[in-house]
Amino acid sequence: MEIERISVVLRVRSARESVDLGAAMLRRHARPIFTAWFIASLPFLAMAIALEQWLGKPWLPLLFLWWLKPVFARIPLYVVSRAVFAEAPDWRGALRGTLAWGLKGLPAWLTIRRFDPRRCVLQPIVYLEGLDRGERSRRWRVFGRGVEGPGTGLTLTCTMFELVLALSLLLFLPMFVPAELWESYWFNAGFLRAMPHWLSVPLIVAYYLGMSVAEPLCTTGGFALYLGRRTELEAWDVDLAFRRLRNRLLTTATTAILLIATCFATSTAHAADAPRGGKPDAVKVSVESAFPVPKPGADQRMNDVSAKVLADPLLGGKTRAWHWVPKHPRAPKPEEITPEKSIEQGDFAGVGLALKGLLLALLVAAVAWLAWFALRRWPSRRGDPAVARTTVPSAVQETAVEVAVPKGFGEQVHVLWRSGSRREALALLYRGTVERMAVRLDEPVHPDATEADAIAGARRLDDDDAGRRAIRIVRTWQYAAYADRYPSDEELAVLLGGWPVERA
Amino acid sequence: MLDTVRQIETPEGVSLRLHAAGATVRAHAWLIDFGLRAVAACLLLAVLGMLGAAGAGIGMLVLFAAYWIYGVVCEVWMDGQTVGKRVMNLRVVNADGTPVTLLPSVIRNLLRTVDGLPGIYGIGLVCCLIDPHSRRIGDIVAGTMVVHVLQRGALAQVPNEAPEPPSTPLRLEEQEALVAFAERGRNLHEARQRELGDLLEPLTGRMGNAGLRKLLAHANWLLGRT
Repeated sequence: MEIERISVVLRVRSARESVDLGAAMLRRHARPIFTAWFIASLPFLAMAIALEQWLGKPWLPLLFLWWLKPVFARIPLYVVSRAVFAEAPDWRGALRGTLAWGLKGLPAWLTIRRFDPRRCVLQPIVYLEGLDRGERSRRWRVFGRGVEGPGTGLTLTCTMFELVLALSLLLFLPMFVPAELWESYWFNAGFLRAMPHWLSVPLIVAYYLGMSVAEPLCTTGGFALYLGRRTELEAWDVDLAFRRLRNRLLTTATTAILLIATCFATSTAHAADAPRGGKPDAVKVSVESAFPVPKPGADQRMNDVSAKVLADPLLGGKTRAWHWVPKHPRAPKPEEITPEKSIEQGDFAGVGLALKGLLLALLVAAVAWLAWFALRRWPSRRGDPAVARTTVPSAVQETAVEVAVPKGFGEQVHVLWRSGSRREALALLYRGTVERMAVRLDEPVHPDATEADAIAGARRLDDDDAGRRAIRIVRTWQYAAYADRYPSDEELAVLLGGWPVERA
Repeated sequence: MLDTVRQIETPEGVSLRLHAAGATVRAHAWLIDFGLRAVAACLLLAVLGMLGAAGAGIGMLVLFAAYWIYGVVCEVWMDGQTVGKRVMNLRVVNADGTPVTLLPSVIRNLLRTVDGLPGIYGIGLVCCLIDPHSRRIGDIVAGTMVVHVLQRGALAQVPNEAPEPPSTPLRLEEQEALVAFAERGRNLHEARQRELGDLLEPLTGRMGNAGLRKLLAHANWLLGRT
């Protein structure tokens, strides 16, 4: 057989992925596995049902079927182990091959090892590697390290699947019975007090079907774990890749030599005729070479070598370890035993009450907030802008100041200044100055005249001193109006003493 | 070739490998999630039970969230992993390998009602065992799948040796095999190492330990060491 036909991608897998590979193998080879499985196991199902009819105890046939699982598990194992090397047998071959195994291993599986949860990974070693008992247990010590845990886990998981599938079938039953019929039966026939007799046959069949899915799954998963562990221990994947590479290199060399030879020998030969031996990368690997059966006692040298290999500390030989231990270990202090107080009904009553109060308070707060929110958003109230909008205090305060500047505005400025309305006082002073300036220049005051215009007007005055004073007043007003900087009392007195407040 | 890997070629020519997770791992992850939620719900209900009818109401809401929202929230905001999936190194992804988004997550979690029939996930289990990528009905409808999150071992385990290019160009899988041998060779028995090394005598031109050293040198060269 050729390596191209090996039906599994060999790579280092985690245990979980190996189990998944087992499920994939079961899917791929479902037809021969399940055909052979049902042909082999249906007679036992009939026997189980007969047993139930005869003895009237439903648990007995269930136990009977469960106990025989190792017998049936050989079928998926046989199919899958052959299928790895693309020798997938049909169901007839599977049955024949399983029978050819004879009683090998079965007595132990059915008695002392029946409760061993590692059966799924141990099975391949027992059935596929023809080792005697002593070698087998030594091999298991090395081999089992990586797969014992996953194997046990797989067995437990498959037990769970078995129960799920069987129970699902039973639970689907009431789904198809009309509800009123079911209820009257449930209550009147006393279903709860004793299991009705008619249910035992569906029970057995459901368990059998659940087992028929879960046990092959467990077996193929265990085989995949075995395969993964061997790949890991013996670098099978590397081995196969190396063999392929070796063949490619050798074929290329041979072809080159042949090409040269044919070119020289005959002109009629073509390069394509060079014998390539079918597929160039073909490697012969068979079931026998993968699972070799050692001849008993014949190969003494092999036994010596294997004993030496097994004695290697890397492969599970004896190891010696030193560690520090206190010379005089302190005697452990006897623990004081305090009687445990049992939880009374009232112990958490306070906490409960507090939480209840808190929740009630939260509820009241929530209701109050909702009411407030609703009131604010009530349509009749939304129309009233005075309520809906609060007035924003404006930065610019409208001041009621008469536009006309009084004749002797100096006193009024004084009065305003002293009363604290400094801004109004300076505004009055500014307006008075502008008006006086207009009189002096004989120009009308423009309503849109700015401070810059006032300063330009002051520069046009024929009296330089008056102009400077006017400019100073305008600047003082600007500082107050735009920068909130006010002059001191003395400075104001200087501004007020002279033109334009006092007529020159 | 039988494998549990789903290969996807992106338009950019990159091939993605999705390692589909099977029924057993997924069952474990589900059990962890279920246990977590059950314990949390029990603790919460014990406290809420002291509050009487109001507590029972809140408890109902919490149970609803634990059943319907837990999966979606975890898958969308925790990188496609519920707590159980994180423990088991699983992840929900879209069928094209992209991270799962809200709508597919909602669909696959809503369809739990179908997969959960008849109350103990019988349909989901059967579907998961039959489907080549181990998807349940919710996954098939939503276009998602559950994959293994792979942990790559460190390449640093390859022993150092003066790198040397191989005498003939190697194919990709042959290069991979060489590097894998260099990585894992030390775990093999010496005789087995030599046996494997001797297989490549046409490449290295040497036998025994000299051949092994040559293979290590090639592996170092393939890894780009200088």
